[in-house]
Amino acid sequence: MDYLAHVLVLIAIYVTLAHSLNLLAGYTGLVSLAHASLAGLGAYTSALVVVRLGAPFSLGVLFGMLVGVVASSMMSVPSQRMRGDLFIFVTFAFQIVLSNILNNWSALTRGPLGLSGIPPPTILGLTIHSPASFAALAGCIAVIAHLVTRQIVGSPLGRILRATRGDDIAAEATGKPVRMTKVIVFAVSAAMAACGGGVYAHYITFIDPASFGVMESVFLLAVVVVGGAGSLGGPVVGASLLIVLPEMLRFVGFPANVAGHLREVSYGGLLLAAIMLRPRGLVGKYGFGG
Amino acid sequence: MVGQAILNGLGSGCLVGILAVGFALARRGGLGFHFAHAGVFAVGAMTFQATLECWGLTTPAAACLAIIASAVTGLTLQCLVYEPLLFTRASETSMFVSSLAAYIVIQGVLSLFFGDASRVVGPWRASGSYEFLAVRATPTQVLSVAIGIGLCLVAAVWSKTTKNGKALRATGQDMRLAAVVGIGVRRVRSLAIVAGSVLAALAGILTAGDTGVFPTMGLMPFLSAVVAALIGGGGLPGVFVAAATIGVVQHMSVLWIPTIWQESLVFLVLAVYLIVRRSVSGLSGLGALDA
Repeated sequence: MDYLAHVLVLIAIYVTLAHSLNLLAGYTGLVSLAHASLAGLGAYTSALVVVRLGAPFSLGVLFGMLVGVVASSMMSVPSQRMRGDLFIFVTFAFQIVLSNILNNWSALTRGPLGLSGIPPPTILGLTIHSPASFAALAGCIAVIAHLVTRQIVGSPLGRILRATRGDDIAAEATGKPVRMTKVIVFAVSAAMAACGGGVYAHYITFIDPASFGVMESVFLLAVVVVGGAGSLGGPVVGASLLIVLPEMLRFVGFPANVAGHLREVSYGGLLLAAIMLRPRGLVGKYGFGG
Repeated sequence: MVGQAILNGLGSGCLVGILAVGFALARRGGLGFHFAHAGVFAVGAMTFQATLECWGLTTPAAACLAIIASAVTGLTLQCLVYEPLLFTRASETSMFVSSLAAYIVIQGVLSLFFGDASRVVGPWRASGSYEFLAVRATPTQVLSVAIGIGLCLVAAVWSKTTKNGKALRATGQDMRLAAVVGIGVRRVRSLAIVAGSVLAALAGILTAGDTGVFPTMGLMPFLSAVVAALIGGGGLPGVFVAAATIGVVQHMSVLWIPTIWQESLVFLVLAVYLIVRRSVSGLSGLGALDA
């Protein structure tokens, strides 16, 4: 039962993260490979604020979201005019640099040793210990992410996002504030990702830079693409599928490092197959233009 | 001290330069952002190490096998991934993501085959070093610089003067028009990827002799190569010089900042470049796909 709750927590966290990437990649057409590092920023900020400053969980996560927004503006403001592959490369560079910083700024982050002893969250006086109650918390946050995405997508801002996705120059020609919109949606996406990272930190109670590396970013992209970009159901389907399948493989009993690399190959292969054969994914509406 | 840093920087910079010229060639041939170039590099390096150490082949034979392995990997990628995507008129984004996914698969397969541990190449590396002007150079560094400059010049001349080289540039600039005037664009793309992969293999062989091989070795040199290709502009010599300069800057930075930040420095260079040249909207620095 605890194991089931654990899987549900992971699914909920990854639904939140996938919604954040889907908002940027699926609705605005800006594929980002930096979302694992943004989640990592949220995780580390929340953990450090709670552990070192004794702040409550909600304040930690909020602070993490703020840091995520600031970090996103460092990427989005210089790249307002960038198209296609250069934008993706810039986000990739950001992911690498941030991973390096988390690994090397040992004074703050304890480098590869990671931060342990992150306390469980306390909401309104209740401390959330058991996996079942954490599943409820993570589930609530995932639902909030879903509702926020739905609200944005259905609003005039959402229409500008989809116009940007289709043809950003044409959108700008009709007078829409495309560049400002890109910065705003990146900020919202980063805040959501940082929130997911913060929840992850307080659930696992230990974080290290390796958990937020390049492979994680690729995994998140695979979740969005396979589930379906540009739709509200895509992140949910993708996260559920890509969390449950490896968990089932766990029972096959491969040795640990083989399992890790096998997972890498399968994420890469799944992403490749999805982009080539069914870019819209399972329930998506946007095929990345191809 | 400074002289040694410059020499070290030239050595590693020229090595990245070979990789960068290969990437630029592939891109000029109309293949989009060939992220899997990093994987081809790793395949070449690890094949070289494996055939040299495990099968006991001679150095030239191992090098040939490594080049063949890289070329085959590149052609397989083209047949299985790039051509089908280009046929469906896939967007730049789709090409990038699929190339990235292909790299992840290549890296994962290499990890499954060879394990994660770093492997070294033993007897191939000629022992000893050359000393001149108060700096010490390893044979690998000398080879990197010599081969790098040589390859860059050959590639530049080939690209500018020969029929195939011109066909390559034409395909990269406007594929449909190239097809209209009778250039076999599919053949040209194959040529581009083989040329790029051969260069990647050579860079891999030199790296194997320098620092050893491991499955994820392709990523960081590749990222430096992309930055070099972006900053270097449209011409191949420019790309090579940019790579060499980045290498020198990285190694000289060690004199002032801790070495752990050395790798990230190339991204600082990228950031400065992007902020200074605010009109950069695409990888037009490579003179290929976007005008």
